[in-house]
Amino acid sequence: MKKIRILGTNLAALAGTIVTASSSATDWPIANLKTIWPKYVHRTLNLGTPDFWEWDFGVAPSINYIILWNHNFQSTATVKLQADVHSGHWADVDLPLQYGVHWNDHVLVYFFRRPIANCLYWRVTADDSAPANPAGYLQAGYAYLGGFLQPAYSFKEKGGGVIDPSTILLSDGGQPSTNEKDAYETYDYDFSAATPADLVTLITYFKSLKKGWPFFIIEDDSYPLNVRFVRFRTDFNYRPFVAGYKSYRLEVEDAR
Amino acid sequence: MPFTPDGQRAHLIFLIDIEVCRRIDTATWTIDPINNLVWSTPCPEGIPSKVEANGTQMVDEGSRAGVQANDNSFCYIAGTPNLLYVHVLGDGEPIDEDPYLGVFHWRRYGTEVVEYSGHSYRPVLDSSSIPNVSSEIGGYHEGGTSFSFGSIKLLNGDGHFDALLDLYIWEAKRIVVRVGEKDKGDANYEIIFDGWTGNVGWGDEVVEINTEDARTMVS
Repeated sequence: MKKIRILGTNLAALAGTIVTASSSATDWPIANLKTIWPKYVHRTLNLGTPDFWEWDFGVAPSINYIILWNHNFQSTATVKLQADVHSGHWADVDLPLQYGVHWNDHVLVYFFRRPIANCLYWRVTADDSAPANPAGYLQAGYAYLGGFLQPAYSFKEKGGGVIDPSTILLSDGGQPSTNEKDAYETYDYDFSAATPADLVTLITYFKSLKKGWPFFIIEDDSYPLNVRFVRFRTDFNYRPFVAGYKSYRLEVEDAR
Repeated sequence: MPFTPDGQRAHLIFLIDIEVCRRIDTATWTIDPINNLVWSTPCPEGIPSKVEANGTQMVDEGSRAGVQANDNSFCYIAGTPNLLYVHVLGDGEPIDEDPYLGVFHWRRYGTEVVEYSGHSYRPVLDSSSIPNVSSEIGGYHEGGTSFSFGSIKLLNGDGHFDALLDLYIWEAKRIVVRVGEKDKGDANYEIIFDGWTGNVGWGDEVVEINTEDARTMVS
């Protein structure tokens, strides 16, 4: 059975988390990796051997998921993840994590069943120089490092839609003149029940993220690449179900 | 590919470039240890589009030695920090109003995330604010028609412009407005207005920038 996971607390986006990269092009600074616009990417100045993104959390975080969204790695790239309790020891790291990665042409996902909680420093490296990435640089649009909520009861039904925000003007005869915009998807998840503890976490997520800040949903924990980068589309409401449990609906849309 | 929408369907993107100015004659200056006529100040914005002294464009000499040898010149050297070196008329340290010094750079905004001409455009331009272009007959002494472009609005819900409007001079600066279609390349974009910024209105959520015809006398 599908078990949904909600990744609502991004430690990589916290103000106190210092993010650096192997290099940065002038118009695509590393700060873009924290912006709420996933298309507003960070770019390296050129192709390194390897390039890297590095996070200094200040205090040791608890990490289950590492996600890089909107990257441009080729399938031939060599991607590695490193974590360390010390700074600058990447050649001799305490935790060389060179396994467990899932990725496709736009998202990279690492998942650890047990959270890693003793490493202040994390780094993703990517060598995409052989054959050279035709773009001449590497990019990433948004990064997530943190834990997750897996509600005790997953959703019972999923709906959704495709929204076309294009402007269409009609002539008297009904012929359209169209100024097109990018279409995007919406997703509605109906949950029969939330435990009191899960409800508290969901309310905390919504009060923190509100309707502007994006977050990740993994619809099926068996498939890490079944991940959506979304934001809340409506306010969060819940209704009485039974014995302190609540039913609720998550209505989200693609983060763009 | 030129801008050739077929009149029935298009994915239009608007871009604006504004050449804002930061006044630097009141900045802290450091004399160069080798070139005694050359003074430097940090330039965190990166390579300037131009530098002006009392409204006259200074010459980019490309090196500190070149700046040392030429009055009214500058050079920019990237580093930590990025530094701007100048040699002002009169050979002294730039001080408040003697001369007025301004360093310019372009700030770029679009109706969505766009890369154009190697630059990234911040997606905060309100497309509904893009006004009509109109031309009107000017007075006899003005020599023809003048163009009006109304005002454009930049979304500022996140307060991005609050500090920028304080740090830079946005009024009476060059503004270029382009339109193009998505995914049709740089050559597809066409300039629809090239003039001056006018008055700037600054609200909690929107910054409104008026425009002036390029031949308007601004100071």
